[in-house]
Amino acid sequence: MAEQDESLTQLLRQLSSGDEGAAAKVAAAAYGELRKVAARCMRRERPGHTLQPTALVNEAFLKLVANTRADWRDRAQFYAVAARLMRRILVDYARKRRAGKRDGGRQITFEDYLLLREDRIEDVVGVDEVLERLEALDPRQGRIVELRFFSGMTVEEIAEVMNISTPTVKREWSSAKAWLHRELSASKRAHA
Amino acid sequence: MTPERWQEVKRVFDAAVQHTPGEREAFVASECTGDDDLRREVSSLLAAQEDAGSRYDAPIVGEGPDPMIGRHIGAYRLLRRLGAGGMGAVYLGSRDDAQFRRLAAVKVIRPEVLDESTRRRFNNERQTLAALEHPNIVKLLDGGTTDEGWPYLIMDYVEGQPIDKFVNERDLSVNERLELFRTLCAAVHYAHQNLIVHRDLKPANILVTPQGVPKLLDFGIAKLLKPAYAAATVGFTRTNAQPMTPEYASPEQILGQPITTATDVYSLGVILYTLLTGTHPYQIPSQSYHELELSICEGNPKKPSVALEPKAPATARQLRGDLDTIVLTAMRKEPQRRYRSAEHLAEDVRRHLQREPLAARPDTLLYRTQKFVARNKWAVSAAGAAALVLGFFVVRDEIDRRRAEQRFQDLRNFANFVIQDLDKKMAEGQTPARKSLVSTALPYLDGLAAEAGGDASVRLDLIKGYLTIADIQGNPYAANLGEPQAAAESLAKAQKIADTFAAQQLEDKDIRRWVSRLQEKRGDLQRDARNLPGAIVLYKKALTMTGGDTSSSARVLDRIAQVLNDQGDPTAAVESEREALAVAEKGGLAPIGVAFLRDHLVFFAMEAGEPETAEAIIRSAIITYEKDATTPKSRRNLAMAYKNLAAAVKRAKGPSEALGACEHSLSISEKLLSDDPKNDQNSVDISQERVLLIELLLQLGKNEEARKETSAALAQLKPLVHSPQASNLYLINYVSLLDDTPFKELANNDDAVTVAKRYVEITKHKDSEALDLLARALYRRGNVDEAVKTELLALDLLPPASEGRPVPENRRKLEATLAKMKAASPEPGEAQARNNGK
Repeated sequence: MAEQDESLTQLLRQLSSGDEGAAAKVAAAAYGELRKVAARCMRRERPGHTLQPTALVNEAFLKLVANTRADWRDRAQFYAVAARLMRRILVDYARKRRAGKRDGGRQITFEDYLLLREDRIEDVVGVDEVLERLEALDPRQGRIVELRFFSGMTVEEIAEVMNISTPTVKREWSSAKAWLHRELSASKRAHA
Repeated sequence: MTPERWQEVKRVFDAAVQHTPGEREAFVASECTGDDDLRREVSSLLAAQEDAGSRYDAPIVGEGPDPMIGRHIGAYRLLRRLGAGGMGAVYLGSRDDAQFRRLAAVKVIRPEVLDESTRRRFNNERQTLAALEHPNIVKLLDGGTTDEGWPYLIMDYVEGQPIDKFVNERDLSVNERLELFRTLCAAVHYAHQNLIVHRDLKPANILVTPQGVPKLLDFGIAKLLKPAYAAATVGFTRTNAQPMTPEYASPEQILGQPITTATDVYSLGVILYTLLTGTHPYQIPSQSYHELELSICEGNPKKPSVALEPKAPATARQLRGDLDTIVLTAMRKEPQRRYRSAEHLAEDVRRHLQREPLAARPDTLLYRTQKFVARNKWAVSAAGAAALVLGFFVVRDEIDRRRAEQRFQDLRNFANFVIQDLDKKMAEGQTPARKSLVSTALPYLDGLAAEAGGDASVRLDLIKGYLTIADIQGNPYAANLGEPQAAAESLAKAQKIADTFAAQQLEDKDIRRWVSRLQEKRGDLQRDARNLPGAIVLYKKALTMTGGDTSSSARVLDRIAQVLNDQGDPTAAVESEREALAVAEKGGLAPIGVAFLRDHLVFFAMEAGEPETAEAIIRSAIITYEKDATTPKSRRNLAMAYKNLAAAVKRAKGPSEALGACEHSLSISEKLLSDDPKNDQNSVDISQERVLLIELLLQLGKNEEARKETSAALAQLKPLVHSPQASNLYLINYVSLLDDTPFKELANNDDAVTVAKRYVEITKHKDSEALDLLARALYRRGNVDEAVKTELLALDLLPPASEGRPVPENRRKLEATLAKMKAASPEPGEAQARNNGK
């Protein structure tokens, strides 16, 4: 077990030194853990129980990386990978849900309904689409949006895992929101 | 935009938001002098920021508006959620009709909480439950499965409070509480008479309307759930951390023993206890469920009169005596020592109210002591020495020991019941009765199987028991519960026991016969599952062990013939069936059995293209039937024989010879129907005979008569085919009449396609005949391509033609139809092929 954790830490270090192959391996490990944590949470079945991506990512991180000699860089790398994954999972769900609504009969599990808010489906898909352009302009700002919007982390949490100051995150998030909204409204007008 | 430019835009934007909204425009204008593009960028972002508000900060997951709200389930639109839990969620639904609006509670069940077999049984179960009609039982209106595959139940919506809340808020007197309780007992008793046990009676499942009418919820639902989700059935084996309250559960539920109506009587006792005292019979301060379970199984609850809460509605004096006795009698550990029924419990409450002497007698101290010593010899002797230290383990051990002992005794008694009585009861039993008997009997048998030693007679009893159970679960040749998987499991258990017989024991005639029977049943299930070679192997094995028993040998040979025919070899089937008939006639099998085999032989002979053989057999059968054509049943046999004769003669000699036999059979059936107009069987027969008659008339060129008969047949069938319960034969006859009729004014191609499609659905796209009917209906309607495709599917379902054997009749027919359709197909590829073929 400890050995595996060690190797994940290793992978995260390779990742921070720009090793692309390491990214895929980290993603695979993180994805597996996220699924496991999610499934475990869903089984608790408390009425009104909801599954927050932050909690999910935190728990997955603790399971995979904690107790090893991971430093903040490893943590930042891991959260970046996990946030990317959460985004993909949620956007996938949102797309399926949207499709499911339109053509009826598709199989949807109970979990789908519990996970994603019905009234946020359009935003999830929309933000995902326009975010790509912001990422091209400003990758760090793009990561902040991922952590904030898709993983639901607070500004303070983001500052901590990215090792930047809280005011910086606040500023970046503020202009990002304005940008997202403008682009989303524009694309909505274009489609209308 | 470039990344550098974006940094520039952000810088101005960040600085601008430091200013008050009023100052921002001026600030941006001054910052962007000479760069209009930058100014527009920043301004539009500022406007967007204002417009966005907190939209992107709101969480995207969580308890959003429930997507089920507004959806339609069954005939109901969901208005709001009434509650949610591990089992699923309950919604308030409404059905809007022109005149009135009806409200209902819609319970959507998470599929994960149902186990596999229950999911399959769900529809049967809910029909059973829907049959409960009682003013104090919440009526199940409908149920089914949503598009996503979630089972749901729709029941009357009751506005009310749980009974414990109701009586306390209204501050009801003791007598008022007792009256309410009696109503409850009557409702439970009604359900018991319908063989439905609630299994989870508790105040939360008993709502009282503002008018004071109690309504019982969720009857029988607990049975549908996996044990871990059923609140009452917990048991020592519970492993999940999720606490389920066993406060109203009976000892037998905790010990995993069979649930009977006495289980509900126990829970009623606990409910009465709480209604009178305001407290639970077992108070475990540490809230340990394990200890609570131990108390329920072993502890003696305080008498209600000494357990009163300060706020209790009753005084000790009111409860002492009668009410103590009533409550504790209902709550006795041993199911057989409780009130015999909920009605008896209610009756004693009535006696108390009217100051008559009770039927129940309190346990005397002497009785209790004797009983305790007798039951717990070991525990009592140990008590002096070690109980203080080992107390917990002693009790725990004792429960296990008692469990084993009691069960083995029950098992022996029950095994006898299963073998001797069950069979007889099953023959007349209703489906719910059969179900409840199977679910009671099976655990007993499994228990006995686990504990039985090497005694051959016990093992044989077990095999017989499992065979009986398997028959009820899924004997494909008799009315069954539609659980072939469960039946296969029961047979596998029997086989495992059979495998333990030594060769010498297998010499025993009785044992041999039953083991043969077992192989036969396993073969039946294999055949049903379309494993035909497997079925033949098992049947042949069965045949070697029948010990010359006529009826078994004939039956197994008949089964082999059927499988051979299934495999597309009717000629071999004729051989095997002849053998069966020979065995039957030589052994003096009952006439009805012989007739049965003969019918099969006729069928196979026709399939094999030997109509002469068929004709000869039918003629000899008719001679037998004519001798004794007095009862409706034997007259029907005669009619069927004539009909079969007509079909055989038609093939062997032509339509004109066949006409008389066909008309004769129709006249017998019409007479039978006029004697018994409600008999669906006769009506089905008539439609069959008419179809044949019409075919003959057409072949003979008697068009006017054929038209008349067709018109009459269609008039008979049209109202029948659109009923949801329509016999498949109606559908077949209707469509084939429409498919084949040359009278254009009688045709109804759309209706033919619709009905054929339904039949294809009913047979799950697995029935060649259904697909052929549909193909022909489509063809007739002009959908040639679709018809060709459908006919190909029909052909695919037939066993492949084997070399060296004649092509079976059904395959030959379908191939001819297909060729005709292809000839009409405008498809270029097909046309090409046709040209090449010329």
